[in-house]
Amino acid sequence: MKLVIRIQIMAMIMISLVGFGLVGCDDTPTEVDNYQRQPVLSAFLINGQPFEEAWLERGAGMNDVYDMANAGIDDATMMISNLAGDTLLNLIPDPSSKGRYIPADGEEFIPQSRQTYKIEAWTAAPQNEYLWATALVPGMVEEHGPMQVFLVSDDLMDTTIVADGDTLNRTMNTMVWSWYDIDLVGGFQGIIIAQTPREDLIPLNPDWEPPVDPLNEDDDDYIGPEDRQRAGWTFMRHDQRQITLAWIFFRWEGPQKVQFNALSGAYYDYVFSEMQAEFGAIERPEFNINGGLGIFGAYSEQSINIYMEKVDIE
Amino acid sequence: MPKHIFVYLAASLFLLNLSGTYAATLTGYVTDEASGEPLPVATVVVIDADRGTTTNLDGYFVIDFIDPGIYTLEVTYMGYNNTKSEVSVYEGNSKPITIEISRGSVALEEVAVVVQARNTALDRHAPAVSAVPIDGKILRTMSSLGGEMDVLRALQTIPGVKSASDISSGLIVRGGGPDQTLIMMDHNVVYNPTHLFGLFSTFNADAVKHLDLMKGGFPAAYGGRSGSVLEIIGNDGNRKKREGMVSIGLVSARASTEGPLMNNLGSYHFAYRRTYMDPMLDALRDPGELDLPSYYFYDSNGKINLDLSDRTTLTVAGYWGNDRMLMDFGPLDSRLHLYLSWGNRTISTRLRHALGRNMFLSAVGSVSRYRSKWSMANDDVLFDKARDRLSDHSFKSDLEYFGVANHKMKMGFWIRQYDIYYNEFGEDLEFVTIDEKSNNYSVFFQDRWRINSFFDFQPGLRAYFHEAGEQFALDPRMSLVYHYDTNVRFKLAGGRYSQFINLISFGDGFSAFDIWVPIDDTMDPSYTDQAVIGFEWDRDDGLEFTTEVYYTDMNKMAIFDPSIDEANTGDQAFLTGDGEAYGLEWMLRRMKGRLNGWIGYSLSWTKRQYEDSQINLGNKYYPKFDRRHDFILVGNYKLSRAWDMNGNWRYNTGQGYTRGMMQYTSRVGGINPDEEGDYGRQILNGSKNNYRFPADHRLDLTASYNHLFLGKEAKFNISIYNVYSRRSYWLHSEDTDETPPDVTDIKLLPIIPLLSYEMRF
Repeated sequence: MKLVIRIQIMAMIMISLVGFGLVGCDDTPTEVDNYQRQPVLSAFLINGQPFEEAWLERGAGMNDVYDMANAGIDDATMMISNLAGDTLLNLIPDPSSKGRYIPADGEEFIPQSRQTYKIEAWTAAPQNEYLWATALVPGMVEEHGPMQVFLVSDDLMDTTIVADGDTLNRTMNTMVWSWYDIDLVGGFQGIIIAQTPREDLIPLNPDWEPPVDPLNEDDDDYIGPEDRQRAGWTFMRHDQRQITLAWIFFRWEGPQKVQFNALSGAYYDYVFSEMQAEFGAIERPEFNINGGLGIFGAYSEQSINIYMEKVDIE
Repeated sequence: MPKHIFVYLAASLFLLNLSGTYAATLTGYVTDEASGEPLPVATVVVIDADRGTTTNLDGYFVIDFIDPGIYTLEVTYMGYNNTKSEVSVYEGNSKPITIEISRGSVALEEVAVVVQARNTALDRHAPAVSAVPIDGKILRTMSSLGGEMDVLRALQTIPGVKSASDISSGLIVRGGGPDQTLIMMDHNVVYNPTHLFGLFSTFNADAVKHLDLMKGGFPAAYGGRSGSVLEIIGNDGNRKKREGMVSIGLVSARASTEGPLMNNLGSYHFAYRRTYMDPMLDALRDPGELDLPSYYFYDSNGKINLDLSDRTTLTVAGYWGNDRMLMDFGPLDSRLHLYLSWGNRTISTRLRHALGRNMFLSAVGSVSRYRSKWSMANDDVLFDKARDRLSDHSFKSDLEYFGVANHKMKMGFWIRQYDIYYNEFGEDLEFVTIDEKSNNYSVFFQDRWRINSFFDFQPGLRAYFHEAGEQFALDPRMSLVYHYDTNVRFKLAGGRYSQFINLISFGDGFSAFDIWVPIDDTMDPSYTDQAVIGFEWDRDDGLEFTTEVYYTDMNKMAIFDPSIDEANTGDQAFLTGDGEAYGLEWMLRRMKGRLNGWIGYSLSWTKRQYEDSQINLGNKYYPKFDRRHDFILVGNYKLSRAWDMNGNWRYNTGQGYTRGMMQYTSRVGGINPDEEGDYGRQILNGSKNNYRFPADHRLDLTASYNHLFLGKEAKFNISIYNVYSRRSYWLHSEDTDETPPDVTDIKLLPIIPLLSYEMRF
C-alpha cells in the first residue's frame, strides 16, 4: 500500500477519533438544581378509630437545613370522601402545628372495614396543586380470631401467652406473634415503640453502662441523638400468619407498645418499597398520591403494652 | 427438530466431499519443544505453496488441497523461535505430523507482550472480529491486586472491557452485564468466577494456557449468552518432564505440578491455591470489641490428557473451588451470626479425534455446578436462610471439516440440562422455592470461506430449542474481512445472540448472593443484535493498530424485580426491558523490543430501560458501569536478564450515581416521627445515575527479579497497587442523621504494596 495513502487513511482515522472524543463529553446535569419541590401528603385511616390527622408539607432542598416544624403547608383545603363523592370529613389546618390537618370542629369520621375512601387536597396560589388518593380499609385484625403474643420454648413444649402489662426480658423464651387471615390485607407490620422519652432511653444490652460524661462522643457507651430510635418495625407478607421475633428487636428498657398492623395494599407497597429504596434497589418508594408525593394508607391495628427489664447475662 | 438439521448437514458434507477435487492434505500438531504442550493459534505456512493456516485450540492444523511434494513449513508463535522444517506430502491420508518449536532465548529484543499478536499475513485471513487472544505464559507476567496475576483483571486492560469497580473482577464487555459473557474453562461453563466478593477471579493463572476474549460478533460455534465469550484453555501439562511450582504471596499461596503420564501416554497438570487470611483474622479478632469475619477461599484445577492414539486424545479436566465466610457481631446477649459460602465445581471429559484427512471431531460431556448458601440468625431466631444450586449437565460435539477448497466448516450441537434449586426461608415463612429442570438444545453451522485473496467470509447459523415454553430461536451470524493488502484489513461482523438463562445479582458484578435462573414458560429469551466494523493495520516493525465501532441492540433483558416480595413464576420475579450499547475502541500495540505494550482507548455509551417498573420510574437510564471514556496504557520492559518491569496506567471518566433532590418526612401510621432516630427524614432520589463521579486514574507497577534459588528458577515479585494513592470513587452516600444530609463519597483502595515469591522445580 502506498505510503501516501496509508498516511491519508491514518489521518482520517485520527481526526475521526478526536471528533468522537469531543462528542463523548457529557453535559453537566442540573436535575437537582432545577428540581421544583413537590408537596408531600401523608394520611392514614385506622379501621374503627376516628380519623385524627393528615400532614401536608413541602420538603427542603439537599443543601438546606430541613426544619420539620416549618416544612408544612398550612393554607390548603382538604377533605375525605367516599367513592360516590359524598364528603365525609373536612380537614382544617391545626394552628399549633404547621402542616397538620385535623377534623373540622364538630366533625368526626370513623373508617370501616372493606370500604374505599378518597382524600383530596388543594394548595393555595401560586402553586394551585391538586393532590388526591384512595385507600381500601382491610378487615379488623380480630375479625377471624385475635392476634396473640406468646413466649415459646425451643422445644415448642412450653407456650405462654403474653398479657397486657407483663414484664419480660431477653433471657426468656422466644417471642412469637400469631394471627389469623384478615380480609383485603396487603401485608402486615409489627412495630415496637419504646415509651420512654428519647433522652432517657437505656439500652437493654447488659454490657452497657452509662458513660461518665454523657456528651463525650468518644466514650464507647455514648449514644448520639441519631441512635435514640424509639420505634422499630418489620414487615410480614400477606400470606404469613406468624412471626418469631428476636429479642434484638427490643432495644430499650422500660414500657413498650407492641403494635400489630394489617395494612392496605398500597400502604404495604409503600413501606416495602421505601425499605428497597433505602437499600438502593430502586430510586424512590411507591407513593400513591396523585399530583404529589406521599401515602394515603389504611390499616387495622391491635396492640398490647409490656415492660422490658434489663438483666445481666452470665 | 435439532436431529433433522444434523442429519441434513451430515448428508451435505458427504456430498461436498464426493464433489471435491482429490489432493493431498497436510495435518499435524504444533507443540512446545520443552513440554510437548500443544500450542493454540500458532501459524503454519507452507512457504513454497503460499498457503497457511493457524492451529486450533488443540494445537491442530490442516492445510488442504496442496499438491503432493516436498515443502518447507515455517511455524511462528509469539515468544517462540520461528521454525522451519521440511515435510513430504503424499496423496491420500497422511499421518499427522508434530512440529516442535522452542521458546525464544532471553534476548532482550524478543520479549512477548500480553496480547497475542497476529503473526503472519495468512493468520490474518482468519476473520476474528473483536477477538483478543492471550497466551497464559505471558499473562502471568502481569501483576494485579494481591500481588498475584488475575485473569479477569488482566482482561480489564483491554479496550471495551470494564469493571464494575476497583474491587470487582466482573467483566463488563461493551456495555453488557456480567451474565452476558459466556465464560468457559476447558469447554465447561463457569457460573460465578470470583472469590472474595469479586476481588479475585476463580481462575488460577498457573493453570491457564491460553484464553480468547471475543468482545462481540462471535461466531455461531458459541451460544447461550447475548454479549461476549471468554474461552479459557487450561495447561495440559509438560509431556516430557515433571515440573512444579510453589508461590507465597500476602494473600494466598499457590502450588502446581505437571508432568508426563506413565509410558508417555499423555500428561497431567494440577494446581491449588488457598488464601491464609483466616488465621490472620483469627489472631486479630477480639469478640465484642473487634468483630472481624472468618474467611477463606481455595481453588484447585486438574487436567489429565490421555493419548489414545496419534489422532485421538481423551482429556479429563476439573475445577473445585469455594469461598466461606463466618461473622458474629452485635451485643453479647443477642449476637447475630452471618454465614456465606459459595463455589463452583466442574468436570469435563473431552474426546478429540482427527477423523481422516479432512475432519477434526471434538465431543465433550461436562457437569458444572454452582452452589451458594447463606444465613443470618441470632441464637434463637433464623432471619433468613437460602440455598442455591445450579447444575448444568451438558453434552456437545463439534466437527471441523476441511474437505472443500477454501472452506473451513464447523458444525455441532449442544444439549444442556439446567437443574436449578433455590430455597429461601425465614423462621416463619418460606420466601421462595424454585425446583426446576429445563433442557436446552442448540445446533450450529458455520463456514470460514476464503472467497479470494481479498475477502474472507464466515456465515453461520445457530438454532435453539428450549423445552420450557417450547421456545425456538434462530441466531444468524456473519463476519467479513477485506484484505486491502497484507498489512491492512477491514472487518465487519454481526448477528443475533440469544440467551436462555439470567443472573439475579445483588452487587457489582458477581457476588455470593448471585442466583442463576433459566427462563421458564412465562418468559421469552433475551437477545441482542450486534454489528461491528473494524480496521486493522500492522507494520512489519511490530507496531499494530486496530479500531472498531460497534452497536448492540439489547432486547428482553431480564433483571430481578426489586419491588416484589414473592413470585412463583419467571414473569412475576423478573422485569424485562431493553437497552443499547455503542462505541468506539482503538488500540495501538508494539510487540517487539525491550519496551513493548499497548495504548488503548474506548468511547462508549450504554443505556437500559425497564418500562412499567419502579426502576427509574420506567425511564431510560445509564447503568452504573457506563463510563464514557476509558484510556489504558500498558508497558512491559525487560530491564535486564534478571529484572522484568510491568506497569499500567489507566484513566476513566466517572461512573454514574444517584443524587437526592429533596429531604422530606416519611410518615408511618402509628409512629410519631419524633420516635425515629432521624425524625423520619428521608431523601427523595432523582433519576437513576443522574450524576457522575469525577474521573479516576491509577498507576500500578510490578518488578520481578528472576534468579536461581537452591539451583531452581525462582522469582521475587514486588507490586505497588495505586502508586500515587488516588482512590477511586465507589458509592455516594447521603446520611439523613444530619440536616442538611451528610454527603460522603466513599472511595476505594489506597496505595498497597504487595510481595510474592515463586519457585519452580
